[in-house]
Amino acid sequence: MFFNQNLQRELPRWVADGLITPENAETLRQRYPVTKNSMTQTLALLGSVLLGIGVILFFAANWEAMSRTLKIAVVVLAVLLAYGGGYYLRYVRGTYPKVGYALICLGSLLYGAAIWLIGQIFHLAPEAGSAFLLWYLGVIPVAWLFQSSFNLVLALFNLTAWFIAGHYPLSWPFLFFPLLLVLTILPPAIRKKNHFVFVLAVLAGYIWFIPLGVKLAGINYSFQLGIISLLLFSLVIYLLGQWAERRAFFAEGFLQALSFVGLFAGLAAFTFHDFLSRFGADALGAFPWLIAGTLAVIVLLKIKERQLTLRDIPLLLLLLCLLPFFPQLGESSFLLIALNVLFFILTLGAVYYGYQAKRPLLFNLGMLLFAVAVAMKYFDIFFALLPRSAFFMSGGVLLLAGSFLLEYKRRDLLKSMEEGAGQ
Amino acid sequence: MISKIFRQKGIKFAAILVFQIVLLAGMVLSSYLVILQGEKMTLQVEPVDPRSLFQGDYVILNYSFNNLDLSEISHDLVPEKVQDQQPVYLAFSQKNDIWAPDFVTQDAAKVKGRTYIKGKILYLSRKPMEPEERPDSVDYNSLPLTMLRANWGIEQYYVPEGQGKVIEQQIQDGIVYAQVSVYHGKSRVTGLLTE
Repeated sequence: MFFNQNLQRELPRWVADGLITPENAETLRQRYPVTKNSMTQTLALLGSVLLGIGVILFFAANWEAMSRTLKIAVVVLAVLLAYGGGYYLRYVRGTYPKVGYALICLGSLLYGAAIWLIGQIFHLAPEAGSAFLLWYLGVIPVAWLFQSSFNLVLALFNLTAWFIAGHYPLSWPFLFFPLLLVLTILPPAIRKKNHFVFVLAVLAGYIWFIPLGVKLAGINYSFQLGIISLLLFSLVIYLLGQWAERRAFFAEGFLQALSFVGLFAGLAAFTFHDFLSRFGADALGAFPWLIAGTLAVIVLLKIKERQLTLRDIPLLLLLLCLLPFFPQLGESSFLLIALNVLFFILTLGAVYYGYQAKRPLLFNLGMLLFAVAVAMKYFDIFFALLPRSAFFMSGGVLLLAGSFLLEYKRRDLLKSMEEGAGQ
Repeated sequence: MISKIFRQKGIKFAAILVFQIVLLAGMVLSSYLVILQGEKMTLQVEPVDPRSLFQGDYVILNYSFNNLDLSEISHDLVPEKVQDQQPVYLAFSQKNDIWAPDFVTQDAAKVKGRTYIKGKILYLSRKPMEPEERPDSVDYNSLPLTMLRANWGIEQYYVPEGQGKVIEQQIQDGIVYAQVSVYHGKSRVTGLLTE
């Protein structure tokens, strides 16, 4: 964000010096916008949130002094007053745009309060996800109309809550959640380059994708298929990160880091014998459809790109998705060793790539996860071999020495990255 | 030009507000329809006292038919087809002012014209098999059904904040009945009665 602010300050000088044209300056201004969150807006928004929560809790107390009709009338009137007042102040008079915006946000919270109040009056089940769906349906048009980040986050929260509450195997929430996420939440987030909402939306995608494999198999729980789903989703995010990088998309660093964490966590499970040996215990059901669908997405992205590079090596992890079809391979010692080697190659590869591409986030993450990997394998291999006290003492010495070395080298490398960037 | 843009935005905003009010009105009217048009039933309940984050204190109403012993009630459930989370219909008959369930099915047509409620299957129990009875590849879903746990949407009753414990104690002392309105399978609790 500081980069964007500095850039905006520099642009007029660059134009005056003839370094860039005014058109170039305008393009840069739009690509790296500065979003100003003034104290007025922050206070007004906080006030709205507190008031909205207060109203929800007030009605949650099931106050008996009002009749049910009066309660509904009061809350609906409050919704209309908040929305109407907000619109008037922001767009008609235009004198208090920030307070007006906060009132529009308050209207969305009060609309949610009205839904919960009606549910309370008619004794509807508290866990019924339909209340979240109604709230989402009501606020998403407000988010689009006013390009409101607050309403977009509120809509995303309700959409995700609806999906989590409606945990039926492959029922409507399962089918519609990703569609609504992609069609209604992501477009305004991308258009506004809203990093925060974009990150939240991708994380919500994780919530959908990971249990999808398990649900597709038609069984209640499968750790193995859940981990493979994590790998598949992380690979799709990895390719999207590559796509975002080529397009200079605002979130490529986040996508790369997220996919790396997902691949690390997924592959880590494959480095344990206990995990590998349990393949074949779960029914596959419609799980192959998930693999086929993900493969189709990956092939499409690759066809569009029209080339393969060294950075496509993580795609080899797709081979692991075939393990449920050949469970006998899970007993192979060779496979276990190969996967452990691959695990460390991936981790060090991320460190190397982060250094080469001058991406401190990925580099630091790689260093951190490398330390995690070493600690994990130390526990895995030596816990049963050494006497307990020797295990902990040697482990402590190893970790201290390792952290000292990592910190020393990390600082060194980050410094050389900065120097490289400065040249 | 600017006022035209604001006017267009204003029209769209008004349309959104109408849409929100239609959604809220739909919630209210669908509940009133059940309460006003539905058959009034009195059902025996067993209460406990939790709290909802958004909606305050409520009493959980547990009915005898939340756990249906399928050897004691008439049903046409097919072991191979029935699964958790699927819809299920429960028909009632009235004996001496008290309503009791007498038939459970997954086919809504079979309870048409009767007083019935629609619910969701939470859990199914199937007849366990002795190891020696078990064939090499047994399909668990084909085992005979023994018990069905379902949620019928009438298991909660909201009470004023802080009164949950008091009401619970009151109704623990006597026999509690829920007044329920039922209309085409949809049901709403309208009140509690204590003896």
